[in-house]
Amino acid sequence: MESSQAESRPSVTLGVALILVAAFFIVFAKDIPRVGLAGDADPGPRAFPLAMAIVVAAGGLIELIRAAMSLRQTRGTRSHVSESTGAKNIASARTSYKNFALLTGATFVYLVALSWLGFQISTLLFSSAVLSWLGARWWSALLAGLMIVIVVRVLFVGLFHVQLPVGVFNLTF
Amino acid sequence: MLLEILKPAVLVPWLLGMVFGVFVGATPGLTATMAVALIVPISFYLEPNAGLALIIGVSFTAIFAGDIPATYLRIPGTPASAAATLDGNELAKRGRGELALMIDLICSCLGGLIGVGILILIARPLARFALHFSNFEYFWLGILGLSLSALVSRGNTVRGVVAAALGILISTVGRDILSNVPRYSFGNVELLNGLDFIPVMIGLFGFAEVLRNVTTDQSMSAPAIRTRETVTAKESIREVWKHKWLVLRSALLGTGIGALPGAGADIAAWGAYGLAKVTSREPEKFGTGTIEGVIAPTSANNAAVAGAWIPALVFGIPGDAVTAIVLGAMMMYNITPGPQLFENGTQVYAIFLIAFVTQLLLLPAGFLGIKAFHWILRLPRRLILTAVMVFSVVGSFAIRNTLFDVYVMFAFGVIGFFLEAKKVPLAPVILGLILGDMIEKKLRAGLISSSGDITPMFTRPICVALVSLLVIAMVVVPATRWAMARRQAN
Repeated sequence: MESSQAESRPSVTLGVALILVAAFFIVFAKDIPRVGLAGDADPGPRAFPLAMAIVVAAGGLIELIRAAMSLRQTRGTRSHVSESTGAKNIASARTSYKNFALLTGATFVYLVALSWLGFQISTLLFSSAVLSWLGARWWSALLAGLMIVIVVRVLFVGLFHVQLPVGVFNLTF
Repeated sequence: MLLEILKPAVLVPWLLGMVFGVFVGATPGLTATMAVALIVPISFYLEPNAGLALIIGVSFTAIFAGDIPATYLRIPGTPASAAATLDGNELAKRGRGELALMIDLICSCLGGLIGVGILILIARPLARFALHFSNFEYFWLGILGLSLSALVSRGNTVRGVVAAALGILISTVGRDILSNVPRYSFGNVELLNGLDFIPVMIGLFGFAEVLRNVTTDQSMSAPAIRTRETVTAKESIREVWKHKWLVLRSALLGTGIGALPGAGADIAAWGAYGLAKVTSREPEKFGTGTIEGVIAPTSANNAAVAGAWIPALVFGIPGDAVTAIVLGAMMMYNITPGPQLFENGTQVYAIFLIAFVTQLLLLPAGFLGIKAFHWILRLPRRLILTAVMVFSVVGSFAIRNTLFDVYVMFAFGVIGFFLEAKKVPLAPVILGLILGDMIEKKLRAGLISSSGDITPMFTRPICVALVSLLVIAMVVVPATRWAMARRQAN
């Protein structure tokens, strides 16, 4: 339970994100007709998303309140973390953000490339690049990338008859 | 009759079908429904017993096989495996993945055997009971299943409830199921069809996990999973025997829930997990890699597959999508479900026998699947992560052959990473997405049929029972947590 409580530390970011998501669904619910089938008996297609959005917003608000209360409790308490540990944590966090941004960016480029270059080429390039970035030698990364393409091709195209993107070059090998 | 179904002309396609079921079920993006749908055309070239054995074998095996990537990679192969992910994956991280899966396999077999046994004994009376379920009963059943997943997830209960609400909210994107009006589609044709739960599931559990791996300090050349000593069957059987009553209870619950049309193995798995947690002596260990957390959902989900056959055979009402496809195939063999099926005993007993023997054949087929994946996951972590990413992309694409689903997977991967970083449980999100449509439809249809009167929601006997269970769960779970917190503080 202690670890569970530590894991549930209130987060302002989460609270704000939940409220924003809820606000999005509430605002755009205006485009949904209020009345459904059978007149007043049916709550209508708007009711359910609104109700769930309110639950999400309430959750976000609770999160913000908990965060405010937590901040008040810890105000004035000095952190006894040493400078070197603090610097290490910051460096580690920066690396994490960098890795997250790199992989997310590379994946997005891969997804866009799928429709242009087709599955085979884009997957080979993406796999090789990611494997190299994660520490594999270039030739090993290329080989592994090729194996991944072949396995997926045999499985999904050969066995399950899934039509993978062929791209503008219409590559079907 | 046993000799009839064990002859090579039936046994060979049966076993091959089960290997196929393991393969498909264990591949993220490919579901048990897809496995059965793909095998049906092949079954038409076989004699009726062989065709039925092939289809039934695939359906049961694919459900079990979804637990393999759930355990090793934290990507449920099927929605019913999401509950098994919680503790199975934690065990895998500690190098006990094979133990978890061996226990899973034995429990799936036992759960299936118990489910089929109940099917044989009480198919008729149970299906009659299911007829008493109106829209309101289904509504409360959905809410109960969702609430249990929110309440029993690790961490803050409020976040669990919010996660479930988020899942339901996402399910409202697309056409309204009753009035067909577009909701949150913004004129986009893809959004008009709604968000498929498979890409969302792959994103939340697959891509998000890859992101988490590359942002934490882990060696990329080390194997993807740590393995300890080889697990013996004896050890697995001993663990299952220690929790035999849990297996029985979960299988019974799974069969009962599976017998309700539309309920499905996923609700059964979560229901069993939730019940196991609230009745456990150590509920705080659930989610950290407890054996009970593996036994409960895995016993229930295969039992639910058997349970789904009850309304299917007796009334021709399929319990889930897989059973619906199988019923269609049965009609091609001139086997018409309904009361008359039980008057001519031969056909129905052949089906019972095939379903029963399938559970036994699940053991070798599942064992091979576990060993194959175990070998695969000894490869370097970076290779597994890259392969998972590619499979996530292709698996998402394969559902509807559209890149839109791949982008959905990507978006929910980022969202899942963020939610996990903030300790918001992901499983209730998926369950909310799956059950959201059903819950809304049943509530609104119920209110339409009662002319807006909500009284039956709280006065019908089965509704009262379900609401009571819900209230008990909402009181017992937080109270248990509070009591544990006090005990630890003292």
